[in-house]
Formats: sequence, C-alpha cells, structure tokens
Amino acid sequence: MTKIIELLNVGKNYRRGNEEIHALSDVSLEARTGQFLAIVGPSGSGKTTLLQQIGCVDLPTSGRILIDGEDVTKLSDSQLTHFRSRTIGFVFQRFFLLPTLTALENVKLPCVFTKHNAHQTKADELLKHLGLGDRLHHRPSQLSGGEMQRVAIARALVNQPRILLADEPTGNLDSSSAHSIISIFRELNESGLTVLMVTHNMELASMAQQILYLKDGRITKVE
Amino acid sequence: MNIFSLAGKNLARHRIRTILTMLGVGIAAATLFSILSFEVGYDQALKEEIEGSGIHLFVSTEGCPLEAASLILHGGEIPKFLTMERFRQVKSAEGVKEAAGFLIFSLTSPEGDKVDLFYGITDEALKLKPNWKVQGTWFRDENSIILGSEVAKVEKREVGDKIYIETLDLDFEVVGILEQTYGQDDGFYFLPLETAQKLFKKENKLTAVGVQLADLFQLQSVKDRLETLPDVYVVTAEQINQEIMRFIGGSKALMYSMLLIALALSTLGVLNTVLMATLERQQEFGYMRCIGAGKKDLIILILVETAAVCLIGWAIGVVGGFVFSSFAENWIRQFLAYVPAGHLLRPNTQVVSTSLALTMALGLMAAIYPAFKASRVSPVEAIRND
Ligand SMILES: Nc1ncnc2c1ncn2[C@@H]1O[C@H](COP(=O)(O)OP(=O)(O)O)[C@@H](O)[C@H]1O
Ligand SMILES: [Mg+2]
Repeated sequence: MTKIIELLNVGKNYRRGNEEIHALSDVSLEARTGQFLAIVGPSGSGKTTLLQQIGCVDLPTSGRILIDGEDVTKLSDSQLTHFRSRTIGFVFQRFFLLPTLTALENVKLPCVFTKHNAHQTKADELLKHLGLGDRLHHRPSQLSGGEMQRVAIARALVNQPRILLADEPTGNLDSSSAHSIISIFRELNESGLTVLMVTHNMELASMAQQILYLKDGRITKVE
Repeated sequence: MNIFSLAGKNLARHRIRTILTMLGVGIAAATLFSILSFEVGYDQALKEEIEGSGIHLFVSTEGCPLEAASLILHGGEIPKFLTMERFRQVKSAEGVKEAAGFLIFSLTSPEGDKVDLFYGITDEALKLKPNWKVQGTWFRDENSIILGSEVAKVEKREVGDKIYIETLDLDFEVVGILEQTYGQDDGFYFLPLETAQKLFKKENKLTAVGVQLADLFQLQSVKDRLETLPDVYVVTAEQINQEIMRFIGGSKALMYSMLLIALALSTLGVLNTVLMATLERQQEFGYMRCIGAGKKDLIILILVETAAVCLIGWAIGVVGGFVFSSFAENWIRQFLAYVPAGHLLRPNTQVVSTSLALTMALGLMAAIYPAFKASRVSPVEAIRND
C-alpha cells in the first residue's frame, strides 16, 4: 500500500517568552493508506502538535512532511488551505460546532469555503448515516455530546477527505458514547479512510491497528 | 448555505447589537440623504422662486444687494425710503412692464417675544407674485388685511374673521388668506399700501419697488436707466440669487459639520461592533480555518457582515429620510438665513446612489482593521485546549 503520510525528522518549537519549548523533536513516522493509527501519551507530550503538523494547520520548525506524496512544508498559506480542505478532515475534543448553525448547516460549512456545492447535498445523507436523521435541524445546544461529535465527524467527512484526524474525540464523552464514536471510526477505516486518533484511553487505542507512544515530543514506542 | 447566509446567522447572534448598529448607520444615512437632497433642492427652489416671482429688478434706496434681497424676499427694515414719485417714475420708465411698491415694517410685541412683519403692498404685487393664490378676496378697503398661511394658522383666523393686532391696537377684517407658499410670505401680514403708510407714519414712502420687464434682454439698459434717478439703487434677481447663496454658505458649513459628526459616529459604531464580533470569535475563526476556511474567506465573511449592516442601515436611513422629510426640512430651515418658497429637500436618483456609495465606503473602511485581525488568527493558538 502507498504511503499517505510521511514525517521525516520533524521538530516543532514554540516560544513562550524567553523560553523555547520543544513540543516535537525528531519525529519520523509513516502511515499507509487505509491505516488506523492511535497516538497516546501523557498530557503535554506533543500529541496535538503532531496532529496539527500532519493536518497542515501549522508548519514544523524543522524536517519534512509528505502528505499524499506532496511536501506540504513547501506550500504557501493559501496552497495549504486548499490542500487541507481537500485532503484532511478534523475532529476535535470540544466538537467546535458553530452555535448559531443547525446540525445540517454545520456539516455544510466546509463546503461554503471550498465552494463544492455538490458536496452540500451529501450532508443530509451523512447525518442520516450517522443516526442523526431526526436531529438535522437541531442546534448544537439541543444535542448531546455524542450527537455533537457525530455532527463534527459528518462535517469532517463532507468534503471527502483522504485522512481523518481526531484529537481526543472521546475526551468529553461518557464511555458508551465514546465506544460508538470509535466504532464509527472503525467503520470509516474499513471503507478505506486513513484515520489518526489521539487518545488518553488505552482501551480505545487498542482498537487501532497501530499505537504510537509519545513522550516529551518524541516517539518512544510503536506497537 | 453560502457566505451570505452564514453572515446573516452571525449577525442574528447578537440581534440587539446588530440592530442598534444599523440604526446608528441609519441615522447617519438619513442625515446624509437629507443634506444631499437639500443641496439639490435649495438651489432649485431658489432659482424657481426668483424666476417664478416675476420680479426681474429690485429698486431701493442706496444699499447693498443683500439688504435689498432681504427686504423684499425676507422682510426687514432699513431707515431709508423711496418716494411715491420715484415709484411712478420707475413704473412709467421705458422697458418696465409692471412695478409694485412695498413698504415693510416689523413690530415687536409688547412682551418682546415675537416679531410681526407687515407688508404694505400695491395691487400690482399680485402680478409680480404668480405663485400667490389668495383664498377670499383682495383688499376691499383700508381695514382689509391678508394673512400669510402660517400667520392664519397661528392666529386661528379664517376669511371673514376679525383680527385684533395688539401692537397696533387696531382691528382688521381678514379678507384673504394666502395659500401656503412654503416661503417667507407665509409669515407676513399684508396691508394695503396706503394703510401701511398711514399706520407707520410714512406717508408717500416706500421701502422698495419690484420691477418686471417687458423684455429680459433689456435688463442691463433698463437697470442703467433706472439708476440715473436720484437715490436709486437697482439690483438684479440674479445678483440677489448669488448674494443669498453666498450668505447661506455659513449655514451650510454648519450643516456639513453636523453631517461629518454623524458619519464619524456611525463609522466608529460600525468599527466597534465589527471589531467586537471579530475578537469574540477568534476561536471560531481558528476551527473554521482547520475545516477549510482560508484567510480570504474570513476577510470576505467580515466584509459581508459589515456590508449587510451598512446596507440595511442605509435603507432604514433613506426610508426614514423620506418619511421624516418634512421634519428634516423644518430642522434644516432653522439653520438658514433665507428660505425660498417650495420644498427644500428634493432627492433624486443621484442623491440615493451617492448616499449609498458613501455609507458603504465608510462602513467597509471600518471593517478593514477587524478583517485584518480575523485573517491573522492562528488556528493553532485559537483551538488550543488550555
Ligand atoms: N501555541 C503554543 N505556544 C506555546 N507552547 C505551546 C503551544 N502549543 C503547545 N505548546 C506546548 O507544547 C507542548 C505540547 O503541547 P500539546 O501538543 O498540546 O500536547 P498534548 O496534546 O499532548 O497535551 C506543551 O508543553 C504545550 O504547553
Ligand atoms: Mg492535546
């Protein structure tokens, strides 16, 4: 299978006042199309930072990142935006749904920016598929946590990305909702989507094909 | 879903704030609209009045054109007078078709709170004032009085009523009331010339004479001819027009400074609202960027939101400007040293489009900084968990 994600000696430093924080140091990894990877590690170990580098919302301080064969560290901001919107779907711990939009509108939101109006018609279908057929016109405040996360997953999928990135997607959910979210990921993965998920929960991580252990910005173990 | 519906939902989020900002823009737009309408209307009304008055030359004793203008059009007194002999000479001069004599007096009420303006006029005045429509009849005897429409309204008099003029301690019979001219004439009392001369002890005297020419091309030669008469000063309607324009310049400057304040306040209001709406949405902008929004999309979103506020505010302002135009007209009149007959606010399509363009331009200017702010949001910072 083809390599869809490849990181070569990636480092990421942040400045906080005079202090330099090495959030990632010399991280190399690769993922093949259709893999399901879990990233685990203690808080502050650099998991989110790693996901942001792969998701092209930020550029590394050093090293190279190849997504789908493209060296994204060489792209301009607007090129990155374009690339990201076609390739990556993001799911966050805190859902990040726009409070003024209904579930359906939230799912359609990425299409407003990509101007793929054809994809808008998919939103409906995606939500129904995720069991939210009777919640289409509810606002986030009227939904449960698990429902909100499913809306966010539909939103991440609407532009038909190649990679789904999830940063502690179950962190704000009770365990039964968490399990249903993970089974959605597995199902998506089985249909060919590459999934990278950050989690605290070892039980959930064990449902992935591979687990990367991160500590102090370094990969310490791959299982 | 598109960028416009998204902008609409964002504006609906803080409904009160949005509506207040729109009202602020509306007030500024209404002011702008009214003043632009006034720019058009005043010049037209003045021209119409001068052209329509049928008076081509004003004859008075020596003085400046401004005095003559305010005398005949505005009402006022100067202590110098023409004689009836001059009036007859002017009337029979070559090239003069019609001439009417005026004797103008102002009386302050005993309490000093009110000034009444009296015009002694000859019958010819009716020919020189084509816009006059008299309800009732013209003067019947020396006790007749004709009231301007505003005076009639204030004094609550109808044709046939008696009116007691306190300042003169005399009774008159209201034989006629002038239909509203929207000009200065609405505020005058009109008396037969002889009555006025007797009352004010100016027998045989006139303040000024209005002259209508047989042929306008003779203007200069008739003017020259009349000026050979001793103590006579002649100004043309055109000169008066220019003089009026010059001396209301100050009032216009005052109006424009108020407009400037209104526009500045509304622009600051827009800036404040849009900036607040931007700063409180940093995190939203951050995750919108993660799910596919570019810097340009955020800039466009802010501009669309601002444009919507300004467009609706402008529409409110223009509708309000139309609805309250009589109110605005009265308000503007207060600033003016001279008000011609007819409507002062005359909006046209250019007024509408200019006010739209200016309102939008100012609003979008106010949006530049917030839009720039939004484009600088770092998605990484915005969505951090801590
Ligand atoms: N934008 C930032 N500025 C400064 N420090 C940051 C920033 N983002 C993350 N960090 C720091 O980098 C380290 C890794 O953070 P993060 O990737 O969020 O860890 P995790 O997701 O594993 O909890 C932490 O020490 C964190 O404080
Ligand atoms: Mg994290």
